[in-house]
Amino acid sequence: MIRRLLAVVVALGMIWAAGLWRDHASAGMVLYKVEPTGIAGYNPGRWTDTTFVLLIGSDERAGLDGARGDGLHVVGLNAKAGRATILNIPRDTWVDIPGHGEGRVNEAYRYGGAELQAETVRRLTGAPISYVFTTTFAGFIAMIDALGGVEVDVPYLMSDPNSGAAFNPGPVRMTGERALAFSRNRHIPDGDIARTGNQGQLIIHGLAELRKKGTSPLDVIDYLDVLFRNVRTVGIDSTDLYRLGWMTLQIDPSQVRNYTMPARVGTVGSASVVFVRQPEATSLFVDFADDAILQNH
Amino acid sequence: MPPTRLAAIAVAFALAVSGCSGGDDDDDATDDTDTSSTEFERASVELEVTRAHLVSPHQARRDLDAATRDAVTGVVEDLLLVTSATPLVEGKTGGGFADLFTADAGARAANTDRAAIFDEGVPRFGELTTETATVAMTGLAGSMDPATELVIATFRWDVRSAERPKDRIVREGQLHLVPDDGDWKIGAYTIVVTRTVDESTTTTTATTEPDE
Repeated sequence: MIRRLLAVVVALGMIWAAGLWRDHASAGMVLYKVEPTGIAGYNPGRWTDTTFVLLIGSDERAGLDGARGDGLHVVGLNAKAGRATILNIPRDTWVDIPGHGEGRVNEAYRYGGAELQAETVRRLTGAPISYVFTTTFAGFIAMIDALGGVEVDVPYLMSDPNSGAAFNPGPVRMTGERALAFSRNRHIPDGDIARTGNQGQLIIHGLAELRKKGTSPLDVIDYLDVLFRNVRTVGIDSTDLYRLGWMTLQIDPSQVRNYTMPARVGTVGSASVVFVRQPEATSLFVDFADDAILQNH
Repeated sequence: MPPTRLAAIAVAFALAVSGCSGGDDDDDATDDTDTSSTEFERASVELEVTRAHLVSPHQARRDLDAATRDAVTGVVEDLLLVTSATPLVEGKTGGGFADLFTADAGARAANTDRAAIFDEGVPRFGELTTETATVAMTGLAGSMDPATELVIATFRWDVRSAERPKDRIVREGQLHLVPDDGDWKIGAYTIVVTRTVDESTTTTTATTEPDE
């Protein structure tokens, strides 16, 4: 049977559509529209030039009790400027989780799913997140393979039996499995903080691969066709998806900044966590949330 | 699969021209006609629809409904008639241009992008020979509302002058159409036109985005 690449995923901040294998069911990918609350002047019903999307890589898998948001990235898209910023949030960042007290930021997903995860990140960063895309490991692998793999510039030697990452430095063409190993490897300098930056880099490479397949309005609809069959959508109008896809595909990957939240490693009791480093973080969040472009960083 | 050729445009003829030449090298036949009537070529455009699909959430791709297909085809035909066929055949632009666009897109098309949108300033082609006249469209239905919310129409219009076959206009583009008060209107476009006249070829492009 001929394998037909129907296409890929549109991506809000970048990879959001999944590709194809005929007859493959959704691999745990969901795209939500969430309503920002408490943000004066923001009207989620109206298309604006700046849009924020939270990408969540969930560790949901068989045998695991309670999935968490292990990869957290706020993608800010500025259509008018043709630029975007990926703000990476280390998963162990110690924050206030609405209704649940303090905890690691990724625990919000286990407590309240995508909505609570978005609200928690929104309160941390101030970015008016209006869309959330979640994917499981299986979904992530499916997306990368649907793109035909992705070329990643590996920054340093990786040899980690836990994640399966084994790469020499330099450009490496990765399958979905290998890209997952790369993105999960935390046994690297700066551990989880550097890992989340690597994930952001992978997202940019994914956007580049998607753009190679076409960026016309018709391409966007073709991608949506695949997305509709592979990703569950919640509360999102088709025209919003179209515009989001169009907007994303017009952004040149060279115009995407990949920036990790200023952080420092620490402990709470016996637990290793990541603390937001102030005042640098607040300065960054303000710079990011107004127009998705980092003018001062 | 080779593209289907020649869907058609009709160039019609009416009456005889008389006394209109004023120095032009008009056909000899005009000398014998009744001076009270005029023969002139009328432009028309007919496109072959090569595909009309609808994409919608959680459903397989299916055919676009006939009413939407025909309405969108009509808009694309009218666009080509007004901006290309009429200028080439009759030496003037056609009417009704503004009705084909949303307000913002129409203003841009009529001004900023006019050089790409209209075949003005090109010597009259007279009767046209059509190489290709096709349109393909894909609609997108709503997530909450099953109605078609937008249509992307891809067209190709390739014509030559019957008198001077080397003179050729090739127009290709993608149009983003949205429903507007019962009609379909062009809200954004990408148009590429390649004009070959007197053995000189130029290509002009115009692009807008959905929210412009």
